[in-house]
Amino acid sequence: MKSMEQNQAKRQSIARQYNEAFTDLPVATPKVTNGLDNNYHKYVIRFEDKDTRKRVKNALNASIHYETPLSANTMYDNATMRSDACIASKTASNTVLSLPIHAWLTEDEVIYIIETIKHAI
Amino acid sequence: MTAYDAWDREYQENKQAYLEIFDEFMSQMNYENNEEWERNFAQRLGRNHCVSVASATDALHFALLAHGIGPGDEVLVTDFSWISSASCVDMVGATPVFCDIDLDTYQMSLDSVQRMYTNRVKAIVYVHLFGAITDTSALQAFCKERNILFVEDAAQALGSSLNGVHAGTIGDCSVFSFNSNKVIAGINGGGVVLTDDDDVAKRLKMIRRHGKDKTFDLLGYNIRM
Repeated sequence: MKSMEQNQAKRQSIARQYNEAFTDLPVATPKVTNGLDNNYHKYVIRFEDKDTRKRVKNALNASIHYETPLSANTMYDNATMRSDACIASKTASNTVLSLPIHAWLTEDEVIYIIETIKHAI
Repeated sequence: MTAYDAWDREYQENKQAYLEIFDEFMSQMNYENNEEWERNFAQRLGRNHCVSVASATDALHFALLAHGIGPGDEVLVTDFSWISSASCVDMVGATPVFCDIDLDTYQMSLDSVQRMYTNRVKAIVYVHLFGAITDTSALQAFCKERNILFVEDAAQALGSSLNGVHAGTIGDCSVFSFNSNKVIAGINGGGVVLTDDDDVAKRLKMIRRHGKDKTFDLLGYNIRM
């Protein structure tokens, strides 16, 4: 925990690089709000469609958080419960991708990630 | 390159310091260190109590248990998160009610919460997804007016704040994770519940240790960080 603030500052620096690099691309980047000190546990971008997401995911060996809306998991198939229509949740599950972000990423890796996304879209 | 090799790189950088901590613990077997750590962590966030458990999943489960949420109760949860944000409700025998998110923040939508509320709703599990925090003041007011327990799932949000208000400070109970993929990773995971309520803290400590006070008064578990 002694390195927590320093590591968070490094992730925030990487997030700023991502934000600037993706400005003109058809992707939704994390919302930047005045007064928000974001720990960037995840840096999640959203694509226009599932196919583009799949192409970038494979190119980067990146992960999806989360691929299935909670209410659509099979453990709830026979459950008696209420659920809103959850259209936005379905859209997010189909189009989000988590980019690598941690304090030990090198500058070369960040550039590689950015360039890979630019070429894959 | 893989996306999630932070743990190995961190370990290689800090290996000697971690081994010294391990050696100190094994030499003394001093479990009071854990209580001291809990007091320091609570103090760091201005909360009265911190109860450590094995995971944030345990923390969410026990937070609901300690507040008496159970069969017949409904709990509002997000439809977009890790499964624990909803399965903790099933674990206590209550029923999750799935709410939609705001697509620009991925956080639970107030409009959806208002649509899905009925008088059977006794709690909400609100997640700061991906570590980001949004303004929850309207949602908190909505819950307070209806006496809805506000469980703050800050598993991913340690270190985040909005206008100086830190994650982990706004819930009746607040939960953090120290799983290996989090910003602070325990050797074998870990989690905590934070609360300002003395009675809730006492129940949480009983639940994690076989339900024991002077006798075995509650159905409990054997869980530690």
